[in-house]
Amino acid sequence: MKVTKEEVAYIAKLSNLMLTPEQAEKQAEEFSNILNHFDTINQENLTGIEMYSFEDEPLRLRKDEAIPFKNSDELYANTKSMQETAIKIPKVVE
Amino acid sequence: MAVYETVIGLEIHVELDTKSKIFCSCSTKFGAEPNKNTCPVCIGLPGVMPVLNEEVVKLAVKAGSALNCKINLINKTDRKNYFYPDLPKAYQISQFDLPICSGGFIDLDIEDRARKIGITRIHIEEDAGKLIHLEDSEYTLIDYNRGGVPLIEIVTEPDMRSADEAVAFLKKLRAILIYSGISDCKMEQGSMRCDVNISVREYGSQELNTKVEIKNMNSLKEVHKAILKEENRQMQFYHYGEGHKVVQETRRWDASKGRTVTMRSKEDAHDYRYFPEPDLPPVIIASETAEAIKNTLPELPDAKRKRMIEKYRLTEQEVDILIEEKYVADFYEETVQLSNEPKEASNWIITEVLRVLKTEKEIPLTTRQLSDLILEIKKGTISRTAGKEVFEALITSEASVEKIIAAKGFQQISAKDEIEAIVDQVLSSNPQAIEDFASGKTQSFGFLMGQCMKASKGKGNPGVVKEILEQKLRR
Repeated sequence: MKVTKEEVAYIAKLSNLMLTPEQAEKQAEEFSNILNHFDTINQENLTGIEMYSFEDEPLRLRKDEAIPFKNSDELYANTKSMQETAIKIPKVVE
Repeated sequence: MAVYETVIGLEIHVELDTKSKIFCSCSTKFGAEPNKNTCPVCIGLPGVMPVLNEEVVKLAVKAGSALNCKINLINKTDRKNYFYPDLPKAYQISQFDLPICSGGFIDLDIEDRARKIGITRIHIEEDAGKLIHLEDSEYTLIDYNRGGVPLIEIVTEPDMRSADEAVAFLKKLRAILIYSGISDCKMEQGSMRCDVNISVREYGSQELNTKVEIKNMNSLKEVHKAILKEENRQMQFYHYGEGHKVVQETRRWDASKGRTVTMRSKEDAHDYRYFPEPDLPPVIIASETAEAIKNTLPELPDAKRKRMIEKYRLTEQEVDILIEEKYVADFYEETVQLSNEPKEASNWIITEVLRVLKTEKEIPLTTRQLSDLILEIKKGTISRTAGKEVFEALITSEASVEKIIAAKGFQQISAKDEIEAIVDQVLSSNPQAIEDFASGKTQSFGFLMGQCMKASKGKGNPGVVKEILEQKLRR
């Protein structure tokens, strides 16, 4: 499956990424290779195989208990700008 | 002229009533200091792993059961990708092709017309953080406390045909979710949020025209207003042959201006690039577990309504008012249990308690106080009028009904000898009225009755006063 440079540019836009034409070209090639790999996997015959059988690894769920995170001081240590405990960013309005 | 009809489908986000978030142990409590309830998982630091909260599965299955859905015993989570500062991971863990519940319905009864509103699906997901846009400021503030709070999104079929139907649906849904302890559904606090998909078509047509999504209504009243406004806007276009001007877009309801404004159009509609969440295994629920959860459902509004009409001999209208809020219905039933006076309890709650609740957040008296008040009036200790004053006093006091009656000196005089003395005194000072009555002027009875009540300072038991007065006049 071939991924075009246009598709890469579109996905980059959705992800707020800036790519140079060279980078986009490289990404397109890498994406194509990844998708080709999935095509190969897709050729595997899966008849008779239960897709959602996870008997060996039962679902692990967490008990509903509120436990405050201890190291909260460091949590926002790398945040550029705060107003009291809120994160301050340039205005975004949808 | 063509007749138009409105087609409405809803997407409702409801915050689940859990103690901790969906994928981490941070508290879900509303109103904490910004970013207080956050950790590396819910602010999306690299390398963290989400672990699903078991209560979320339980409440979502419960919601599905209460809304007549099929529970998908195998379901899975997916990443919904979008880039916005309220979402630190730049993806929201949600469900895409295998939601936890699908295909349910709610029965509505609108002006005696039965309507069945289909529910397409219910899925679990995490809430996003909150952006605070300060007026006249060049900054936006971010509070991630809400990020990771568990939500269910309920998507309906486009089965509603008017603002009234949509609001009736939301009311019923809200009641069911509150009754089952799934969410507190406070629209003003955002624990229940509703997006409306709305289109207009010629009556009788089966086609679905271009739909518009409206967001940002924070009460049922605003939902109603926004739908009326938007259907009118679209109908105008179709009416003047300009149907093409209705474009698929998201519009924001501006409550202060009372109109909808474009938020984003289809061109930049989100392409969410869903893909399976690799950090979480599929959610596999044993059918016995699902059944056990279903069995924990309490009595739901429809069943309660039917039972209350039969058991307490109330009218449908009365029961509808009493069950709209679960805590009011509970208060009613407890009062009846204490007083054994279903009709009186209903009257007091509908006229007095609900009046007070328009300005108060909680019922300001206990079921014990209300049932004692009802019983004292029934026994004749106080008059109904005095009862209202006692009720007012109970609102601001924790004292017993008995104490308040004593303190205000409201006890009715029912003792015959005391009342006889009052009647005698009134009669001796009003000979003319007695003569009038004897000559057939029956209205003078009312006058004398009034004089007796006045002489007793309003405390005479009206029944006893009337009885004695009649005896004396007819002698």
